[in-house]
Amino acid sequence: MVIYLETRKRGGDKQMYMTLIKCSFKQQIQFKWDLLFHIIGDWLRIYIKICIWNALLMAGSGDGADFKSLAAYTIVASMVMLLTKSHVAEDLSDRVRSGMIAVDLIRPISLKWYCFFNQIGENLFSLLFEGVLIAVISWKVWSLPIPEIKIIIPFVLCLTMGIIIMFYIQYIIGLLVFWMKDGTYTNMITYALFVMFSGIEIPLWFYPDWLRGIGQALPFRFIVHEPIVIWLGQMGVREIAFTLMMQMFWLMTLFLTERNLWNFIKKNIEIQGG
Amino acid sequence: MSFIEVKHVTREFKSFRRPDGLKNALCTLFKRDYDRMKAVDDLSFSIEKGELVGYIGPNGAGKSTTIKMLSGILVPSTGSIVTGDIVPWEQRKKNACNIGVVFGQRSQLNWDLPMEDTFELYRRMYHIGNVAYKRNVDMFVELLEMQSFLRKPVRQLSLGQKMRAELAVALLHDPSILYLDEPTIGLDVVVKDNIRKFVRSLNKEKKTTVILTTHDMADIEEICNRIILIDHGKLMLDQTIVEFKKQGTDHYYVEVTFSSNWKPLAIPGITMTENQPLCHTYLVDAAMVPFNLLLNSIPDSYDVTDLTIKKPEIDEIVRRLYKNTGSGEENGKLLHIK
Repeated sequence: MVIYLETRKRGGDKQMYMTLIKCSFKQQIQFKWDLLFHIIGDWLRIYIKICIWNALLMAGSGDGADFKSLAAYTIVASMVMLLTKSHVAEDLSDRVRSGMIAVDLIRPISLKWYCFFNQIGENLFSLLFEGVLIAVISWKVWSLPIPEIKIIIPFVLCLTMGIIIMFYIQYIIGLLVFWMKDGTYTNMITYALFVMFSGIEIPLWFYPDWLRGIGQALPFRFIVHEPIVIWLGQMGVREIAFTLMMQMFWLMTLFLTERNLWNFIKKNIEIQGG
Repeated sequence: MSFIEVKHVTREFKSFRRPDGLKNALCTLFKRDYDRMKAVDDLSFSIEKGELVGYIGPNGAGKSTTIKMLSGILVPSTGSIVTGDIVPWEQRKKNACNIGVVFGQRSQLNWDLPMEDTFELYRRMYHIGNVAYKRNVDMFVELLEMQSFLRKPVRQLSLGQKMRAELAVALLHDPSILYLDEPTIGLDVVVKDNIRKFVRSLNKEKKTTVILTTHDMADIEEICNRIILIDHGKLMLDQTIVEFKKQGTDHYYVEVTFSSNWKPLAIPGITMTENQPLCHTYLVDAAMVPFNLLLNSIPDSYDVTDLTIKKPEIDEIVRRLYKNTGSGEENGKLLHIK
């Protein structure tokens, strides 16, 4: 009976998260001008990057990379960026600062997963309305190759874990606000590290060894760089397996950190305002 | 055991002591002094199922802190709280299913979605069955007159509409306890009235226990049948409304409307509080002035056209309690009245 109730509840939660995704979808669709400017922004960013790669390749400093793989890298990185966008750290800091967090905590749900699925809803919306358009057009324009299914499966797996890793990092940084009372600088540092070491702007293979060494020790490259390298077919089976294992390791580490932090917060929480 | 049991609960907050002067401020980067402040101090009370309790006190008395502890989002420093067999902060999610909370100054609605979608989300969140869901939505939409704004995004609603929506959302899952934290703040008379009636009828129909904090004494008058008053975190008074109002019976007001007046009333124990053309109001000490004497002396001084006797309202009793004992955020403590 207990097990039955438990599974029924889980099933119920799944429905709740689906409804949540639907709701954040509906929310996004109201802002059509916002969407238009997003699309324009995406194209500008891609255009600028492609121009830079072209210039670099012509100057002969492409490090052996050809235009097609760089273009593919740029496009896939844009998709990954749409999917890993997360404002959970900022949201949490705002809510903790203003005391609005009280409202989140009186619901019978996990704050973490509520934030996660709300974000996923938004990101899926971006992927569908911005990403697909970008992908289709760029693939046509630059006639980029599409990898085989035996690459796409590990890619999707790797990407999914990357998205969760990114979310966990953001969520943990957000939770720190319970002490810091202001999340601006922790967010800035995290974002800087992400831009630097995830490979979202520049593929990590361009980095000097010492900088790459630092990147190796951080979880950020598993969010963007590694999935793209898999997509580009530059990773063998053993390397793919190793990458996935490393991602699991990071997920476990982040999961445990988050749990401990949360338990600590639960005992010591202070909620601002009357 | 009572439905809600609060026993010797204390909640401390640490607050950073800010020194004067730049030099001292720089020193705090390395060494800090903290003040320990008790928001709630050795508080005990119990509430039975179905009671309608007004939880009042001046600003900063510790009302919201108590509500937060009752709803499981703050842990007391010492003491115990049990609400319907659950220790709220140990089983936050389970407790959340039993309670509904409305914070008058904080919204739990999604700003960009219409109420319809929010209802749907909450239905999933609380695992509400189809029948109960439909019944409640229909009932709330009708009683709170929400039909006209169900499809509008919440950001376009007026404050009154939003507050009704908050109430409906908080009650969708048939909670057995409802915490209302200043639910009528900033609302117009009509909406206030609508909300008060709604809470009363909800209590009648579903036996929902209601704990209401407010600064509007009309809320208390019309909703509650018991008052708990706290100040500086300490329990000051815990009485039924009837008993509470008796405190005002040691004096009353007499309003004399007249066409001509020879001299004002001069009886020991009577003081004039208002002097308007053709209408005087006196405060009468009931113990000092026999009623007959008062009635007999009025015609000696006035050509009376109308006479009204008024007992003090809750509002005034509370004001007297706060004032007489020098309460308020900055002043000293309320004396023990109990």
